[in-house]
Amino acid sequence: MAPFGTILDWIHWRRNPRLDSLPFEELQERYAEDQQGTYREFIRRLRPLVFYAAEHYLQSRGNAFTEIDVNNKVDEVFEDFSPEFDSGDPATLLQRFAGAIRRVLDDEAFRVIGRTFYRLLPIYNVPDAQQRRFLAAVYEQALSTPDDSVVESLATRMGVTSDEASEVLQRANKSVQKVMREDFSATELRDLTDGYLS
Amino acid sequence: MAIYHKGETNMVGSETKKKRTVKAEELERLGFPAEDIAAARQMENLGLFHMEPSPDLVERTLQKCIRLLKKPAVKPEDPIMSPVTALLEPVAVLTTEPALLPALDLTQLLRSQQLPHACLEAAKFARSRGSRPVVMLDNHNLIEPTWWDLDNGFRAFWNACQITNRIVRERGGPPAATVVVLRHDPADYSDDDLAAIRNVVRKGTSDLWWLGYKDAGEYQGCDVIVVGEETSWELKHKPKSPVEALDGFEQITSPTRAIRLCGEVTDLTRSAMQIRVDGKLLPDECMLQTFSGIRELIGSVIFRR
Repeated sequence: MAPFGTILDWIHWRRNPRLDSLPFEELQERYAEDQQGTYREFIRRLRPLVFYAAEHYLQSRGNAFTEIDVNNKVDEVFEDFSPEFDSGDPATLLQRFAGAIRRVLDDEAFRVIGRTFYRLLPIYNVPDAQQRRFLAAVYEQALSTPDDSVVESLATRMGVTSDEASEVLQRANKSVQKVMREDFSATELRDLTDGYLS
Repeated sequence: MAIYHKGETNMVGSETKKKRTVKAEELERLGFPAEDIAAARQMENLGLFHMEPSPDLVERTLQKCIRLLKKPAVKPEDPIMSPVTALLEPVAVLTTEPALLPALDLTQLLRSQQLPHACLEAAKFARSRGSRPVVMLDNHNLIEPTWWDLDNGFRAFWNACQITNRIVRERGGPPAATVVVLRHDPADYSDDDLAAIRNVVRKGTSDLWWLGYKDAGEYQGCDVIVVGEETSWELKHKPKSPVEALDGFEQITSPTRAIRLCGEVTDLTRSAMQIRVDGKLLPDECMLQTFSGIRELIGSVIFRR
């Protein structure tokens, strides 16, 4: 039977989509087969938003701080959450992580990013891979851009023309609304996002 | 390190970074909800975009968290499928997705299946002869270590090797052998490279050696895979992508050549450091915990005399 164990691992990998395309509620389910890869992907998606929350938290303390301080605070949040990543209902992964942000930072720091943070829940359920990737990239940076245009910046990053990036984003915004209407009930969405989305 | 206060410009050294901003009108035109734009504007007004989150720190955060992560629970297994079905499954899945067909290069896909298929076939030969099913010279100067992690074609071959190794070892035969030709300098490896190398070292089951670039002789610019008793795949240029690499391997069916290549690659192990034998890692596991440890280990091979 031993070889079949490996074959099954292989089939499982072949059948399963890439980690970066999984909805949050399915990400946790992949933990058993790729512990570090799953948590790395979780960090990749949320680190920038936690960074902004940590920055706001340090600002609110009134003392001068450096980028190192912010990064250390971000690490504290993820460290705090690490032991419970694989505990609890996968559907509540974001809610439980929001709890860690509130614990390490505070309620106000989370409130600042809350809406953008929870928007990632339906975004990662958008079925079209390109739309999902483009929209997630914009939200993961809190809708901010270092360039003169969101579209230009995204087009460069994703290797497409500006027109394509613009079209994809417009379609993606429609798709995410559809996901929110059809894939979640209003109560479910409200409950899973602490009332930030409904 | 600069110290930032609300309202200051984001400065790093003498270079002024352009501050992130929220382009509300553009976002509105693109169909972003007004509430989300308002939330982003609020963050901007709070001065949160004066600093920019670095995209490079994901690995650092992960390293800090690893010791805290819970051991995953064991999941029930899927139903059994034959290796051949497993090999063909990606093709079957893709061809049932009409939306994917225009972008799908089936020739490329089938080519990427040749190596794993041959590898599985080699288990039969290895079992009957007591020989190694695969002898490989994996050259980091041609094949990026990360491709073994990221590219489906390379992963499929790697997985096929693991299956083959299990089959031959059940009969007491030797597993596949891999001699890795390292780059010139440990500094030539990025953190991503080191993460991929660690992954292969920890999870692989083939016997493994690391060889310094200078000791590779005429194989400094080659990547060689000998599968079974008569087939070899040889790459003699540096490809730009994993696809180009798989495409660039020249398949040669010649028992004489296969035997000669096996002998020469095996000879190289005399100048190499053995990293894994009989499924056991020889270096201290602690050295693999950190990137600096792996780099040090690589350095000890490159600079040893």
